[in-house]
Amino acid sequence: MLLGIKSKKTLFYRHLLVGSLAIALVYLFWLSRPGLSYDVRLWRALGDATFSFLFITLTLGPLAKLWARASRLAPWRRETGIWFALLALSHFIRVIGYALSEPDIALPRLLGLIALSWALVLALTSSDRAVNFLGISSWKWLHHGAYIIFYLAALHASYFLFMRYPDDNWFRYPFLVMALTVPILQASAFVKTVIRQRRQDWY
Amino acid sequence: MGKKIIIAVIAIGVLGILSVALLKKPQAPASNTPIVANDIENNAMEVKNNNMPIVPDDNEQPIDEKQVVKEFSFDSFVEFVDGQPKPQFSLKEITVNKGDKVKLKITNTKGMHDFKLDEFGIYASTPLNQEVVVEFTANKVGEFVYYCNQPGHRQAGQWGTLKVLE
Repeated sequence: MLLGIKSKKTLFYRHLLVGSLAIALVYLFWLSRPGLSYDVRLWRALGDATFSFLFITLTLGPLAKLWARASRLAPWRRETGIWFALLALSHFIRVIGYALSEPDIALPRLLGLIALSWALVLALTSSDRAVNFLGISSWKWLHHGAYIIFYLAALHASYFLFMRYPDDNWFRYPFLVMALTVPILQASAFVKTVIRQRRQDWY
Repeated sequence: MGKKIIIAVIAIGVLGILSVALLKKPQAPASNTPIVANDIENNAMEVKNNNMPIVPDDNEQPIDEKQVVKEFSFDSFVEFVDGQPKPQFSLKEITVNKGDKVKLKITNTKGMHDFKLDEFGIYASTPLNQEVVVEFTANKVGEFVYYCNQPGHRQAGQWGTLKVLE
């Protein structure tokens, strides 16, 4: 929501920090698969980093509700979300040639495309100006769609990790952990909010 | 913003720029320097180029000086039929005699493909726009199917027949 950061310099540094982390993460994923051909290695690195950034973005909110100290990280969701969208766009640009020339991947391709389109809309509306323009409740409604992006992206990635290329891809295990952690954290934060609300009502 | 944070940001930025620089695509070898595939593992994504010819375990034979070498060049590609991608090999049939040394030069011109010939224990990754050379001795008589091992490619028609005559 509204961050109230007026200084362009501060915004720049925040994006520099998160953007550098994004690039570093892509590089680490790239390093982890020296045996692959250049194209496959790069689009897998971009895809894995994209999902990791989506995971980070979506865990910051529930974590802040569950653990007061984590609330300091919540305002970073804007930058991590924007960089998630940029990583997703890079992944799309790298992989589109292959995706169009492969048989039998129409559905996972469509899921990825919908997730990307929605992610770009959210990235474009990730600013105080957009919050003011749309109004807080409609902006919130729009950005709750981030969870739908997560489930679309998880289905898209699951297909490629477990069905199309069930070879030895080490990212399958962290992916599973991340894919399960988000709904668990989300449910836990919901339960905590309900309990807190009921206590307030009681008193 | 504290001095330490700025230093950390710059350090991470430099790391990021370095990583982007290192992600430059390696140059493909010159067209007259073919890659000789040496990967017979069933891993469709892997590329290993160490300039050793394929000699499958069950195909080891002393090289006969009078052995006939039969060479074939063909492409792996994708064509679109009714808007659907159909991966193909440009060569559908290869006929050789038993004992011939077979040299296949495969170039992937579009899409992601590989080459597999189970009965001779041959698997080769075929990176885009690079000529991969597969060599083996046709020491078994019969008809054998070679195909692309990428998911759905064989079913879509990317296969051919190797005929080894007596």
